[in-house]
Amino acid sequence: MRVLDLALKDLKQLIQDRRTVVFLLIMPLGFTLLFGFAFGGFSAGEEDTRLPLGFVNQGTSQYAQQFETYLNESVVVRLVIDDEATVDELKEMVADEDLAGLLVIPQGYGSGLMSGQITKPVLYISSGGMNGETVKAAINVIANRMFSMVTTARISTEAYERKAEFSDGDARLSYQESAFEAAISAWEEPPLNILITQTGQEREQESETLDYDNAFIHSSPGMILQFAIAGLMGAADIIVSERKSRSLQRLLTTAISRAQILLGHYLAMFVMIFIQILVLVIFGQIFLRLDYLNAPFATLLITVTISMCVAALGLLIGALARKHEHVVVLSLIPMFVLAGLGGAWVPLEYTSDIVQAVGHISPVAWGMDGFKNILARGQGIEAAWLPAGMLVLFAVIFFGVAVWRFRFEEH
Amino acid sequence: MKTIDIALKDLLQAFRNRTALVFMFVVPILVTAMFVFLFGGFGGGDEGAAEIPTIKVQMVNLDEGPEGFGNILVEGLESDAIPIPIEITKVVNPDKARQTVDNQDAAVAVIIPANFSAVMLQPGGNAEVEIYHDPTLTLGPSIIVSIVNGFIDGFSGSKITVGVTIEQLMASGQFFDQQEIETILAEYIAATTALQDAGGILEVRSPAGTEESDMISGIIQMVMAGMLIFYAYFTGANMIQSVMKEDDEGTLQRLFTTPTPRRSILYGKFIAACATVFIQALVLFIFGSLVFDFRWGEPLHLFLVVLGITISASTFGVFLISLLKSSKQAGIAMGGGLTLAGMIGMMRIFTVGAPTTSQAVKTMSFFVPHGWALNALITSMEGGSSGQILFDIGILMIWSLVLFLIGNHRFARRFV
Repeated sequence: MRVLDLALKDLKQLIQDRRTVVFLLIMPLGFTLLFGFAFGGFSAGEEDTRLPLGFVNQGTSQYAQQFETYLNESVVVRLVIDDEATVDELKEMVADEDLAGLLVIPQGYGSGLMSGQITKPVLYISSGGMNGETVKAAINVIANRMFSMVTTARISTEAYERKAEFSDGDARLSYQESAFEAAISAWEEPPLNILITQTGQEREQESETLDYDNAFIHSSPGMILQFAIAGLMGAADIIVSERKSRSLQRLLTTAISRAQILLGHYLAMFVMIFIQILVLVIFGQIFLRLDYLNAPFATLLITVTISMCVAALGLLIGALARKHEHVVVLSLIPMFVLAGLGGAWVPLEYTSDIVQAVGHISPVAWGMDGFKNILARGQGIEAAWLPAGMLVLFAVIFFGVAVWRFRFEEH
Repeated sequence: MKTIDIALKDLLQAFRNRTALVFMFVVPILVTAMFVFLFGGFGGGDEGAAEIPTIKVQMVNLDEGPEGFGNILVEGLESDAIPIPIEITKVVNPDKARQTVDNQDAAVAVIIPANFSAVMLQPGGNAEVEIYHDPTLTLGPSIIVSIVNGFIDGFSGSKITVGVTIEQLMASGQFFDQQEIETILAEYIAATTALQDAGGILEVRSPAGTEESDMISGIIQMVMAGMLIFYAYFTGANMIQSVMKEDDEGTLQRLFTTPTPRRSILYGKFIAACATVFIQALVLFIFGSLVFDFRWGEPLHLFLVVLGITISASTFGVFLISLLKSSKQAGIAMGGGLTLAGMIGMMRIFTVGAPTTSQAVKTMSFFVPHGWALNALITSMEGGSSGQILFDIGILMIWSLVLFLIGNHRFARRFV
């Protein structure tokens, strides 16, 4: 009962502090929306979300025209053709990120390829972004297929010439064009294709491209975990205030035990973080179309264990901080380090093998795994046990160190 | 003179405050170092080069054809010519391969169908190579899709070339034999080999120069640029916050009893904020150059950018702190206000790796001075012209003037 009284007192104090609302709810909600918006999460179904690609076609052959036709049909890029802009102006738009890239088909592209020379289209992309890399991959496929088609037409024409002579140049050209048309037609249904499938996907959802249709799958769990740690500031501050004002020492003169005091503070932090995560999960479910309720028990298990772990970290911060300023430093630095290392900002798959392993020394990585198993992989409770177990282990470690280092007196 | 005295006193306090020093220098360096570490810049491989993570692939070759086109695809993925670390595990059972991906022990399963070779040799028909992947991963699966696509397009191209050539010959009444088919195939293979030797079908350039630059290094430098600007604004506000602290502690009132013009107090604090931000930015730029080998641009351009960041961060601090009623609200302002404004301004950095970034993101970042400061720094980093940098700094100065006038007015009204 005394534990509950102390927890309720802490919670009352926290609710009265406007910082709590800002850090616990407004900021995580704001940043989830901001990140989701930035990653295209609010694009309406009919909106063209393809990457804008500047296009300058200096070639005049039918091959260059065919290249343009394929680009127009692309599901990755959207052609931006501005006849009045110079190549330099378009390059500047790429540098300014107004365009994801600029493709220039050079003069003599078709005739060069037809004569067996490698005539390369020039692609301008900015460094430091994946948009350019995505454009590059898409253009590569089209350019390679164009190369194949023109090569087919050339080889076909040369094969005829080994057998007989064309009556004139027009006959040769006509034969070549006919072979090119036949190649285009054959590539419409190539003999070999790729079929892309994924974990937790129904067979009818198979596709020929990699498709990630909810931009919040990463940002929502990432922000939940990051701001769960940020939210500790207010809660840990209460412990520091109690120590500084000697309320903790006064508490010890009452019938409450040291263990009950620690448990009371821990319980308040647990409840605070649990409610915070619950609100963000419900927000994600309703407004961000994330299927947290795909596996409700798994979601609950992960939520509870994250709350246990982060609350124990809060107790540890409260144990280590001597001044109010220390609480800010001891909350924000772990937030940055654990969130960054744990893949809350950038998915760990982009990092090196060592970092992927080291990243899992952060509880954030296990929390991310737990939520992503539910949201992205469509898995259930069976995929939640390992992350939940690891989070409990972290909770025990943090709690143990907090109890060991906890001081009730102000030195 | 009194303005200078106040500025010196605040400077001394700032550089004696360990918490302030942590936020000024340690956190930006720590976060940048963490990103360098995350992307493999420390240890192993080429110095400073980003390390690409190993992609674990479950390979199932069900191809039954004696010609072994399936084996060619497997060998192709295992080839040393692919500059990406791929760890291939050959398995027989496709369900087991999918299970391994489900268990997150592999990123991708590539399943070559039984009729793979048969399709290549017989007229008509088609086959599908299945790529089963972990949906939480994007990089590994997209690389494998790209490589497999290259191989199967090569196979398809050769079959199409033979088919089209024979059809054309037959349609024009010419005969052909096995020798002819082999010649056609050899010509096609020679053409594709020549293409590979020439470094691929595209010439990729950066808009500023002639060569393609490293994406990961670019991201890391952008992260440090973002951190630097974010914490410069934090420092600016933190320095001006001392007005509120002094007000709460009563030292401001004591100062008012001396013959010190009230305007001098704010100006003194503003000068201290400028000096602190300037030192902070300078140290971080030099640290980035020396330790991470970042290139920030021409010295004159960089100086202009540092000056712009210094003035705008300090004036933003004046504006932000002028909105507060007491130092108790500083937590919300410093934590909430600065983080929100900073993250809006830095949105371009957060979305630098996103393939579906909304174009509105860049526009949004210009609604706060941080966005203009970042734009000026990026322009300098990318070797932009003096005119472009002066334009960005000019806008930043307009922001600064407006923010300072508002802040100054509010402070003057409060302490009359």
